[in-house]
Amino acid sequence: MNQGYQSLLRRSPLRRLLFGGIGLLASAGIAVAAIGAAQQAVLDQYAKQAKTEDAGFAGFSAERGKAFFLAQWTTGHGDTPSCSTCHTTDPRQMGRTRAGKEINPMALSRTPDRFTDISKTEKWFGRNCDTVIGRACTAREKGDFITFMVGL
Amino acid sequence: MNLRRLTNSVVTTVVLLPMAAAFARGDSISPEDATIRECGACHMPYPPQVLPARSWQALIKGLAHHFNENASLDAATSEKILGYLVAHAADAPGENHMFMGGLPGDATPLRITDTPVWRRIHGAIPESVFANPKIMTKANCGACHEGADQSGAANN
Repeated sequence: MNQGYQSLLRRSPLRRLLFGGIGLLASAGIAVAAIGAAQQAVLDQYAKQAKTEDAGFAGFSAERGKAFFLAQWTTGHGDTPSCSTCHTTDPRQMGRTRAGKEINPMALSRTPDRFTDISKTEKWFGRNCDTVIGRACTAREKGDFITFMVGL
Repeated sequence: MNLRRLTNSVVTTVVLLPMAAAFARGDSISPEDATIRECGACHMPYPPQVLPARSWQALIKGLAHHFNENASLDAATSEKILGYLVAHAADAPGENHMFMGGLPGDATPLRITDTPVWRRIHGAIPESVFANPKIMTKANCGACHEGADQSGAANN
């Protein structure tokens, strides 16, 4: 075995990530098998923020995420009153922008690399929450949204 | 699978691929590729030669209210994209000036469909053609101009 790899594996952060990830998947079972370490890190960050925004925060909810995704708003920029305007009412389907461009599904089961990059995730929540709702989303809304997509 | 192969694949998956992805996302991306990626996330990445530099400046400055959508970019990325668009605009030296045809000097069109050249070429096409579900919008150039949009489905 290559000595470089061996010494790399002995360093604890990578080792923890590797075996921690396997343990997490094994304990979580089939229902959330699609979620990876990077997505969990994004959710953990939103959970931390949600606690500071609301002392009564008690975890994310796929049900709330679904209702949020399907909600019709009258406070946004007008042409896109709902997430579902572009992403359709079934996030496992391809969506379409107003300019006619196809959007890959939001559901993790269809597009597994969704929500793995916090800066990309923040960029799109930043744009689309303003466009659709006319304000920034709360950390709880973002976490609920992702939790809904992870379970689909 | 023996231990070495397992370790190799783990190192590739956990270490090297994310590093490559981070490199691909970073500042190393060319202005043209940044333009295709960012603009092409929502619509066909229109070639810079279809609007004058002043139009691109107005469009990039107004990304927070971009045709009723917030399309904001970070400052470094929008600067990079604007530089590319201005350098190859319809009125840039050495570029094809076709889209400057008939455009008044004080006009700053924000839509390609507002340029005299686009209107002259597409003027005889009935609205019902553009309303076809396969076309949906005049912004969907690739629906009729085969190969116009090669940027693929949006992963946004």
